[in-house]
Amino acid sequence: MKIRFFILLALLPISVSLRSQDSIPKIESNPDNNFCLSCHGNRWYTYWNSDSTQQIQHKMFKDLVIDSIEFYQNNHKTFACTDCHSSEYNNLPHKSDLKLEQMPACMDCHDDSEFKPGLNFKTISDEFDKSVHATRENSKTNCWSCHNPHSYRITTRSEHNLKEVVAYDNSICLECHSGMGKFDLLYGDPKSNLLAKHQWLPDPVKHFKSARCIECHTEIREDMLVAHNIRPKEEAVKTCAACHSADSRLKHTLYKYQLQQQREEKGVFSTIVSGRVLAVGTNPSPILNLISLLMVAMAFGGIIIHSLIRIFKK
Amino acid sequence: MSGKVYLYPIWIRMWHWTNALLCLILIVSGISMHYAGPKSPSIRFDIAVSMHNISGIILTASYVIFFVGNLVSGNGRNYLIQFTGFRKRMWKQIYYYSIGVFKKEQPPFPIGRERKFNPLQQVTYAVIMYFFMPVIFITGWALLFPDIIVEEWLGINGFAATDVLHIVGGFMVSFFLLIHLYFATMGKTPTEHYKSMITGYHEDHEEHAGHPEAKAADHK
Repeated sequence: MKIRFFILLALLPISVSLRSQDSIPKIESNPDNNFCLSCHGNRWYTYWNSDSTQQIQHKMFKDLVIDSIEFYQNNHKTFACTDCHSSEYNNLPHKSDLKLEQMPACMDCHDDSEFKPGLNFKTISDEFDKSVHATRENSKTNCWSCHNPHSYRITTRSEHNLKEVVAYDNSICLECHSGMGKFDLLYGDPKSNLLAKHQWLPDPVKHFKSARCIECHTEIREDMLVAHNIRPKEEAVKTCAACHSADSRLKHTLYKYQLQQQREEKGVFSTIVSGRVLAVGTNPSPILNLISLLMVAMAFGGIIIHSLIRIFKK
Repeated sequence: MSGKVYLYPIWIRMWHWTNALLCLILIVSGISMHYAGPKSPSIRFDIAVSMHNISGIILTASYVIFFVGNLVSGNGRNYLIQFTGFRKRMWKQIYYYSIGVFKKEQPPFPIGRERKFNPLQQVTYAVIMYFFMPVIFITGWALLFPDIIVEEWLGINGFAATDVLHIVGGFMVSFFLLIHLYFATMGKTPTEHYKSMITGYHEDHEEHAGHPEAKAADHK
């Protein structure tokens, strides 16, 4: 529970608000997966060795451990393990040559234009191919590097609180770019101290909590909800007004889905009237702007007329 | 016959001009941020933010001096609105500004040792200094530390409400400043009031002093 202050419109009472506890999502498991998860859902697995007539316990290699809670919340939660993996995995012990099985690529399923065409997987794939993740020399990055097929869940196109979206999406980038993870192993190029690299931002931590890395590090396309063309660091957006302005970049990235939904549900006018505050200095309400400009114009008009009469009557 | 009345002690003058300078910086940087954009001819955003933050912090300190100074020196009584006969006095002043001044009538509530503000000034100053300025300070400090702002309350986005309140407060003070600058030219000469706020002395014009109608209206 956090105690925070809120300034109310007219009377300015400082009230106390209790942050509601995150609701626990309902998890439905797929019984077809119980057999696999009985080993791969744990850090230790046991099996009966008929030769030695003994129960053997081994530690599961960490990359083969599937967090069943995460799995049953991810985008592919309804899948059976053998929808992607060979059905021969249902036999124990697993054959060693199964390790060489050709895994399906994301586009094997997602390239189908019949499969949720609005999601633009073809464009995503094309944009990824242009990104620094794909074009970098000796790149070993693919869709799964960021979108773990056993845990990735979509957040942007959902009712999630935007802060959760930001935290979740940034955690994907940080998995490699925090300087402690895969990036060093893959490229031997430590990217440590991310905060130091972003010291030019006023309050970098606040920025990290309020916006995703991709807000500044991608090339935006209007026909995509989440940009996938990650640009080299030299091309990152470093102009404050790109976000802190009336036509904020955030409207085309982080807030895009919510604004689209609002337009569809309440019409274009509602977005103009209620224009949300996206970031400090983003010119939140066109109506208030208009009223203020009219008031200033009237005041100037009044002053000019009053002065002229004063001069004339002198 | 006229004389000089010492109306504005040094602390009020220093506070007034510091306040004026800071408000100008805040208005310019505030407008610049409000209408910021990649192609907008505004001050570079990060510079505008620093200008706004530093000036806002100093303005808060200046306001504390004003608030305490008013309590200690008794200057605060000028801001106490007398509700008896309030409407009549207001209309008298509005009539003067809109018609009387062109007919060369005398101001109904001339400035003097006993009364620094006419009724319209008194209400405006009180609302600006004791309502809108605190609104700006509270919301401004909240925006400096946005983590303390509640995310949502009764369906209202806390950050949005705080931001809009700050902008509305800032606009009202800017609007006041515009009117204030003009009305300050309405002394015996256009620069009379400006000079008074520099020297501290106000020309006490005999024909204004002790205006019988004003005195009567004051006590109604």
